[in-house]
Amino acid sequence: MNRRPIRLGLLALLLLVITVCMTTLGVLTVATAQADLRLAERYGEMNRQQYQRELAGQDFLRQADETTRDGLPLSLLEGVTETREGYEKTITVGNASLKIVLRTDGGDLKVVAWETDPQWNPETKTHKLWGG
Amino acid sequence: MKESKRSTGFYLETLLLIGALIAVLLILARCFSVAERTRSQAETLTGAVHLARNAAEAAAEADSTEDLGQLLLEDNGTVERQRLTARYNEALQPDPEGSYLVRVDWDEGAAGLISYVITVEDTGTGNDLYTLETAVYRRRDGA
Repeated sequence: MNRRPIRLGLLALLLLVITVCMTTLGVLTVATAQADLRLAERYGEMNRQQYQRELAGQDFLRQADETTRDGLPLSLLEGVTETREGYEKTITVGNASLKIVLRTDGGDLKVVAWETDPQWNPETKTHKLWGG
Repeated sequence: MKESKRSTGFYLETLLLIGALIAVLLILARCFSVAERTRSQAETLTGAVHLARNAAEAAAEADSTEDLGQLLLEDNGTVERQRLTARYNEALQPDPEGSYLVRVDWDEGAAGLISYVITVEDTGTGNDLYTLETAVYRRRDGA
């Protein structure tokens, strides 16, 4: 009686391939989910910084208004520089800054500029690809 | 005798294979469960940030606290003395039974600077998800 041997090797190989595929998918799923969470936290932090700049800017506006009402020059305020456009103050929180330019016209305060400038610093040196 | 040894070997190998498969499946199930929890956390946080930002923009836009109530509320919240509460669902739509609770607390300073603290809470767990602070200066002459 010559029985044919049962071969388990092929089944084991198939299971190994399935296991490797599932493990790869599992690792990718976890990595993607963690990247999503990091992105959400970064988005939250960027928003918080944006509104901190806004808060500081509004407080500066209050100080400037009081100073103007008192008949004093805005250059007396901390961090204010006088430019051609008017009185300028830059508030930096995080990776961006808020530039505020105010002008006084006969005791009345006008907002000339209220701009957010991102300060982007590339981490790696860029290469010149084409000189034109 | 030889046949019996081969049979025992086969059963042992099968058992080991099944054991290894179950272990791998358990680890993968845990992996997917962690990934799902993390993804859900990211989605909830993003929603909370959107709602807080929306409330901050409404605060900046509103001329008065009544205006703020009109901008943010439908039938999903109330305005008390110095606090507005509003509820939103997972699609970030106003919903009195929603899972997000947005609290806007404000403090009107004497000099016209109104400070706002916006907190988004998960009503299911009672945890604060996100907090945002901002301010709006309203000139006394209304300009």
